[in-house]
Amino acid sequence: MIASEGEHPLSLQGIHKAFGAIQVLRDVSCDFRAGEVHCLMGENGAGKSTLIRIASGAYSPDSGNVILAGRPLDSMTPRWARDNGIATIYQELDLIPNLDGAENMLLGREPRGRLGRIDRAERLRRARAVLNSMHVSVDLDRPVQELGIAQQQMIAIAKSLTDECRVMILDEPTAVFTRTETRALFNLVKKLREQRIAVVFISHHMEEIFEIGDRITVLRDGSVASTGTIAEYNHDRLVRDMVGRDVKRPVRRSAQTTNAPLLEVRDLSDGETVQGVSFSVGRGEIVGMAGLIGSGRTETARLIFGATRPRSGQIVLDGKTVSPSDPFQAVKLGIGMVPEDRKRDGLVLTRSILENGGYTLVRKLSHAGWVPWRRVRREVTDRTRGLAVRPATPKTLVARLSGGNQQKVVLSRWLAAGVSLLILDEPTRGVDIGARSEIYAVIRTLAERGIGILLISSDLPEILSQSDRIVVMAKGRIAGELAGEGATEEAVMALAFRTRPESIA
Amino acid sequence: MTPSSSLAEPRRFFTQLIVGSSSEQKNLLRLLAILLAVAVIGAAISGGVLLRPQNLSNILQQNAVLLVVVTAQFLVIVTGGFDLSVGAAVALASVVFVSSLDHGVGLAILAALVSGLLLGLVNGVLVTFVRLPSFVVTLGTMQIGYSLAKVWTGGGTIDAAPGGATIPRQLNSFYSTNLIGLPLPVWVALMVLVLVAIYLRTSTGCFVFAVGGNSRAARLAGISTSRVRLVAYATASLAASVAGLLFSLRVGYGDPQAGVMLPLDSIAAVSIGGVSLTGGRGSLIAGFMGVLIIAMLDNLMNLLGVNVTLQPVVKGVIVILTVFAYGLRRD
Amino acid sequence: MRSARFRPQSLARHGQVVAVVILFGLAAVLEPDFLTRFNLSSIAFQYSVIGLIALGQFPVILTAGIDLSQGSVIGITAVVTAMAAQVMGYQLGIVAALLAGTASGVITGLLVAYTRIPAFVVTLGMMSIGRGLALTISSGRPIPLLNLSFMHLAHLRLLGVPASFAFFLLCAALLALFLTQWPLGRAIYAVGGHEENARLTGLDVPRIKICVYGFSGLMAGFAGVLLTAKIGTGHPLSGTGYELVSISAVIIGGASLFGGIGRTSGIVAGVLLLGILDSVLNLSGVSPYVQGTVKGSIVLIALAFSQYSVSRSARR
Repeated sequence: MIASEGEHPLSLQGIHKAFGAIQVLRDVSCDFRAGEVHCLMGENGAGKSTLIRIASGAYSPDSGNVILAGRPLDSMTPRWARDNGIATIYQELDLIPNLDGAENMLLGREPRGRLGRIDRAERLRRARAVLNSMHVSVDLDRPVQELGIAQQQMIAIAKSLTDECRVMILDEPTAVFTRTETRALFNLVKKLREQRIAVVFISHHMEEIFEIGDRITVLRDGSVASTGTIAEYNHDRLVRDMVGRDVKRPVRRSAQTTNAPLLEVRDLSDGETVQGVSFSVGRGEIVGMAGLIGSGRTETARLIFGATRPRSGQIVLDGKTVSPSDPFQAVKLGIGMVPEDRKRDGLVLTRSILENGGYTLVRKLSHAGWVPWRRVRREVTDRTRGLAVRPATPKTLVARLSGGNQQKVVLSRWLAAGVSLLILDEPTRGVDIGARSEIYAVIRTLAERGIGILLISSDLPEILSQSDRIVVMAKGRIAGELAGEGATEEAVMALAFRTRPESIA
Repeated sequence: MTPSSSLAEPRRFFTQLIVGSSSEQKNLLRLLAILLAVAVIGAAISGGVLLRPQNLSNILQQNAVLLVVVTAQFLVIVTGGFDLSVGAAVALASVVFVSSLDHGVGLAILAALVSGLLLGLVNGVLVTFVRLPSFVVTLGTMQIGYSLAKVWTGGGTIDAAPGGATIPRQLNSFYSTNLIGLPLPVWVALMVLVLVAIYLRTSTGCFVFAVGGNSRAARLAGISTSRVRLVAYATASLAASVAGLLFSLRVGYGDPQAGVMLPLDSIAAVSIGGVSLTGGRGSLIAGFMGVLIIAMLDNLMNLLGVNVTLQPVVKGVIVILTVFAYGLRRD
Repeated sequence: MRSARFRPQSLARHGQVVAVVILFGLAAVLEPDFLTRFNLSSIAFQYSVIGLIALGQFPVILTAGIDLSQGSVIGITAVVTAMAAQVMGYQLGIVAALLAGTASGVITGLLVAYTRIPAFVVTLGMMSIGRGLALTISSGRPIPLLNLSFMHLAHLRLLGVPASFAFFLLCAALLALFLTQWPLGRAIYAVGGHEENARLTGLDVPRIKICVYGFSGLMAGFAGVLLTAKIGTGHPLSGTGYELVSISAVIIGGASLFGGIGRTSGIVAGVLLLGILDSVLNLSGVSPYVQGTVKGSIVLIALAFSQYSVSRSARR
């Protein structure tokens, strides 16, 4: 499979990478060929992001080689990679928010006029030339932070095209795109291919892969599960290779049939991403919420939790209409939430397990400010022991824990709080397999105790195996509900893509 | 870096009271080592003068005001802010106190404390609800506070204003009276320190660290971040007004220009104690030790007859060097 | 990519300039002494000194840094000017002072750029060190200038405008051009806008930081020279507390302490606003003690108002 050296603009050979105790990549080899669109596929946490970060010089591998145009490299920095024709468009764009598009595209390489002054007309001309070659039009006069995310992405791509570029890595570029924008991007990718640029394309949308890809490499649990030309794959094989199991259905929770209603959401809107969402969660019921990234799931959760205020609609909890204007009040009402972005929204990284796991307990148990720390400590220890947080002393800083353990700390916070509704937003993202099953066990225990669970996840097997009922969101609306035998991966995906049926392969 | 398991064992009440996570305990041990090193080397080159009980007691007495202000500053820094108005709170409290002595000592103390509380509430409201950066807010209230203090006294210092009061005799000796080997003002400073330490162990105190460490996460954990911030700023200025009382008792008058250097000196001391200026971590005792280190070095330089004008140079170098060393450690 | 907390928006963009015009108009109408030559030139001199260091502070704040050492650098340069002028004439004295200012700024910049010490702490330390050095070099005493032509500098006029003020405006114009039209100027905005992305884009972030702090030191040097010329002695305590005034002017001028936002015209307006306010309060006989309260309150209210309008427009 390994081709002769010098043939490919970029090859990775035998890459190993671990973060702490977690082995993220195991012996991954991959060739990116000129004039080919190479799709990297894999579930969340399969190691795609780590791989492209190694390819672009942001991380260095523990062992293995990065081979650039036949030359093996010892160490590579982002700067060096860029100078040598590897352009990477991360999901987090590398733009400067307060500068305009043209400035961003040519930052540090501005065309100069007299006395070293920036030749602004020339800069604008060059920027426009690149954008024209991409057949996109972007407002170049405003700071990029005022532009939509798709336009920002176009500028980021255009920025890397102003360099000589031999490899272009696109990390889930379409996640936030509308159909037209995706179309424009695909045309661009095809153009790059014609220019003999090696394109590395990461996407969760399978129909996109089949439309644009020439070659596929599937990663599973940090290893290459399979690789080959697009013709060798079909939808089923791709899913099988990614998931690693064939027909075997994940263990499904026995559906609870009689659930007294706990939460009812009626026609909830925030005027932007969430447009008239209605659904319900019963006592002791686990409702899975599926949908593509950007379909409004997280935003819906934040509305229910009071983190943002709805523009219209009703939230009925326990038969009473509530309108939490702040998470503080939502917690009082018995709502808890495990947020999507653990580090940004879930944890206070500068503090200990005891405190992070104990915020709700501290609030519940304190009398006139006095906190029975001994009891808080005991309870947090008990609950985190149930979750087997390792290596755990209550005073360990949460920053030192692995992703799975951090998530368990956030979860333990709500175990203690006595909530009646718990919203879990991507609770197992970046969490290793072992910790996952522990988290699932906790979710089930909570449900058995009568707590209503809203489980938001992009991980289909997870949604299918853990939920009693599944609601699917698409474009800010509920696209449909599934339960029992009707709840299959295909059915969920069909609903999730409902707004763009013509693109389904 | 996993903490050794021995650190996880239950400790005595007072360590529990003040000390936070295990990394903070390591920091404290390090600070203690620095302090001891300064003390031993200092004692050696000063011929033992530095460590004489009388000298140590003097050092503490001279730095009682700073100690209280550092306690206040620590509280705000933990929330991720700065309080540049601590000096103004000292000045305001000092003139309010002295000028209200007519109405009795108790009332005068109360009035001074209220002045601090009000200043702190203004800070808190502007930072919390108007969402202005704390640096800007407290820069403004610093100016306002000093100006109000001057308006109050008519510009000069205030001791025996017509119809006003002088510091009563029993208060006059307050600063030099010893109790169990330490001057009274030191006891007051330690009391403020312990009170704030206890405060940090209450629920709001725990939340103060959370808000400073990650206010988004704190909010999503159901913490009322605005209330926590407001209370922190108010408490800080309240503590600073206690420092104002001590100041007046020390100099014997109310000074509307008191404590101009206190905001920056207190931030320097907190930095030397290894408290992160970005908030969310650090222990109060580290700030306390930061003060002790600066105070000992100051005292040592005086004992050695180092030129007074060179002392700020040494101090500046030490601030930069220690914070530099903390940066290295985090690698 | 997350958007910054303060957004520039068209209405607030020239808010400070509008405010200056209005305030100037009001002052001229309501306060008969305001437009007198004596009054205007005394504001002009005092606020050209503050203006110069505000121009120095501005690029530092654009990179999300802060320079608390400006006041002390003024102290050093005041002493250096006077001492050097005694030995080698005032022209070389000025050169020596500017070199000293720039050098201390560059040292600050090196520390900020290459160590992980926050700018706040570095410049806090430099503030202490600078003042200590100024006092040590001068043995704590003001150094007399004994040179009339140097002292004359402070009273020089160009077309009726005090030369110091003309110099301030010239510097402002140059800085404005530089920040908008030269690569390094844009790089300064980029570092403040998103330092990590600026680094990933290949900008030499440390060099940029050294430049802004060096520039701040240079401007403090000019301020020190002017102050020395004005009072006729090189005073080691010159410029005490000026750093906070320059920071105030920059913030009132619409710059964000989080970096990347602000315009030079706004900074000039911020300086003028402070100057006019000061003058009006003086002329209308407001007690100097009350002035602090008035000024502080006006500044806080203005900032609160602009914050309110910014957050409203961000929500829309």
